[in-house]
Amino acid sequence: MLTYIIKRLLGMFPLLWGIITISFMVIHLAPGKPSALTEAMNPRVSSEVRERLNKLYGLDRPLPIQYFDWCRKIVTLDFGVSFIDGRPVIRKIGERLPLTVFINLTSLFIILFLGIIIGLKCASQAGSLYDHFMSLLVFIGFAMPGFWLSLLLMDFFGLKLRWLPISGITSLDFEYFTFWGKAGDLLRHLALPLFVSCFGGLAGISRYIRQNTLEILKTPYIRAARARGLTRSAVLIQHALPNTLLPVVTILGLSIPGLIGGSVIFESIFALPGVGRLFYEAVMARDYPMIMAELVIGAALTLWGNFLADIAYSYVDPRIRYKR
Amino acid sequence: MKPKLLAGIIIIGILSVGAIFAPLLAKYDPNKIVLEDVLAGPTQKHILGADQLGRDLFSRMLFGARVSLLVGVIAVGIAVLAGLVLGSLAGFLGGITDTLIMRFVDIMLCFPAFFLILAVAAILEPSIFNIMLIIGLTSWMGIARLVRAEILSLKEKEFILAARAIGLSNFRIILGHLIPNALNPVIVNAALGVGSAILLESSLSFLGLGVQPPQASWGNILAESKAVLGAAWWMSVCPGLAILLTVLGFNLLGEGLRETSNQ
Amino acid sequence: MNKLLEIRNLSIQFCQQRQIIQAVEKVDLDLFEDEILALVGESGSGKTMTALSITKILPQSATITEGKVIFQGRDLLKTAERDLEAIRGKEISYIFQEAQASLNPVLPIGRQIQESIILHHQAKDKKEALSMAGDLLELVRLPHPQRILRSYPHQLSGGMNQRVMIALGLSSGPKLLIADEPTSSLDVTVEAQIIRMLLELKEKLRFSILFITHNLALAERFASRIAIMFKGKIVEAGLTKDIFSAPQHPHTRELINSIIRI
Repeated sequence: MLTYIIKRLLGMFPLLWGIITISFMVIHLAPGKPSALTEAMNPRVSSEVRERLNKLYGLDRPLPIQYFDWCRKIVTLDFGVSFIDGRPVIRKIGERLPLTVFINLTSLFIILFLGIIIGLKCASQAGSLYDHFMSLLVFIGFAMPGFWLSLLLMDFFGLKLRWLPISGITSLDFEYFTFWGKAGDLLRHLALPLFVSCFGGLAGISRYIRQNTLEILKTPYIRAARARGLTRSAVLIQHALPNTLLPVVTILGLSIPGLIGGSVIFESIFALPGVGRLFYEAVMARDYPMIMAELVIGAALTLWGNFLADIAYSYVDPRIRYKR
Repeated sequence: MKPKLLAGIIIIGILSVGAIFAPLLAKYDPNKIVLEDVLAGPTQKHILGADQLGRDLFSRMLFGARVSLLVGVIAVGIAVLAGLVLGSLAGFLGGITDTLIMRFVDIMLCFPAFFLILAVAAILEPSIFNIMLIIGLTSWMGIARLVRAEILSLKEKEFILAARAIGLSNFRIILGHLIPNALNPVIVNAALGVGSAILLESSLSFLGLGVQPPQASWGNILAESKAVLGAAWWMSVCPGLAILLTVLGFNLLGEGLRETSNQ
Repeated sequence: MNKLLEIRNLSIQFCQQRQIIQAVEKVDLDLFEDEILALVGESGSGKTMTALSITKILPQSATITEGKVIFQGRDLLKTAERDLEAIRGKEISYIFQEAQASLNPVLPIGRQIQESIILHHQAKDKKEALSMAGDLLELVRLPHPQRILRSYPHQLSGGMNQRVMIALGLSSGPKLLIADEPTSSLDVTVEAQIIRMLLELKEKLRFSILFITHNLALAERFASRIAIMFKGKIVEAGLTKDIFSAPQHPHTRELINSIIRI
């Protein structure tokens, strides 16, 4: 087990190097010097910005030296300062990260909880009206543009019914609330964003659990469990569910990049101060240090998440945990 | 025919007709500003209403369909081409080539796709061509993995061994024997890919980094609807529903094809 | 001798790619208390379907179209699912061909035996159930029962897993053990050990065995009576020695000849 973890850890280094290299290529993507090009094509980039870009990345120096410099800076977590307000990029990200992580973890939890219930119910009643209805919903969930859903919800619950606030994370008079008042206020602000971030993910997970459970219900050990007199629901929950859930651990790891990417959309629509909106603001302002830092950190987080998921998987599956 | 496949073909068929004959079907110039029609609701004159500049929404929707379909199909074309080339090279040559290509795939999959797309969109000038390229170049990895896996399993089959035995070159074996046999799952994947490429394009346009106004795209109509939320429901309902149905159509097509090819 | 199980006129159909296949056709079968009956046939002859239909655990694609399965005076095909659940594993136990695949791969052996014991109210609490599980493993002559209780199926050999399945099957003192090709995936020496053990356990605990196999030679060693199944029908049934001395049906003769040739 330990050797496996060490092997996996070592295997991450080439990938990390690849992430850093590809990010470097992204900023040098434009033919010719990126600063010159962005200025020519984009009036938003002033000559002052170009100078700062030059200073930051040493864009006037030979490419290999630039590349070496870029790698050195990232390894020491030096992502430079933001063009917008001159504050260190890494600190700005640090301030915004907790909210994004909180929203994503909460929605992951909700997705898993509901996905298991829906997926198991569909699998155990495959072909029923409920199953057909749910698979229709799943198709809609896959095709639903998150930003449109956000707009509709804002329009309906925010403007028509006036039940829920449509932007920000707290009300203006937040400071004067009691503790429970504050919690309730936060919850009201997060309700719509959470709903949107769960909607699409739920379709994927519940469908996956349904398919996987259907396969498992055909296995000999399920038949044997039925033959021992276990009820249908006991077979489903005590024998099928643990087997269904094993691969879900890895699916969760794989869903991290999608969740991080999705944060950009709902955080910018609902004006939530998370890293997604920070990234969107950076893109709109051509704040290169911020863009690059978030790109590298986002990819590194994904890499780390996949690593944790792999380790978790090899731990929860006894067939890997105890090799004969 | 499978009902899913049929539903998918019908949706995409109607859409394609609308997109191809957009100039004939549209009653108005999609970019013509008519001040007295600003935010006019759906009537005989404007069947889907008019936007905040008095432009006919139905005409804009038709031209938006062109953008969506074009971006979706070409972006996926790029992804399929890249995936086929890299995947078959990795699967067929094996060894160090395989390792390098597959590590590259792993690295690309680490990037949150939407982050990467936005970052590139920020550096390049937003244009339809760039959007196709960006989406295509960030979504080929799944296809590459699929092609590689198919080829690895096909490689050991007898007809490939026979082709080897009669002395066909690697290139001819890949092109003439392996790719045609691995194509089925790729087509299924491509159909699903068009759906997600259309979703990506509309998200980009919604955020202002995709198709630039005044050119109409479903995403930027939705972005404009944000300012008149609550005052002109048709501006948010129509393009959103169009995106939903289109993506649904391609997903149904993909699933239908999968069911058909599994039989 | 008393009749334990009486199958009358049993027919089973199943659907495969929109085609209806008659898997079992008007089968009659009697099983007496304390006897071993072998149901012999090629794969696909309908013997497993017959066995599964006894407690109605057929796959969803299969349906019983007619017939009766009378067990201790009660028609199981007309019994409610809840009452059947109390019979399955308690009065009628199964062991299957693929022992490892028939055990849940992610649950320890001990948990699976414990679950069965508690389900059929053989123990008052989990602790007692676990110690009973250990005793059962000793009964089927598994070495280091305590260690095996903590093991997972993939850590044991095929023969050991089949012993675990037998322990599970016997955990609540059934009247009937249905053994569906229990030794087909094991090698010959292990097969002989398992068969010998089943015979000893049967003498000790007094239950009947419906032994399903494609191997007529094995049936001869093991069973007092044999029923030959061919294309969904029972073509011949009788005492083992009669079947071998005077086979009636051409298919039976074919089966006997194939043994001699080996």
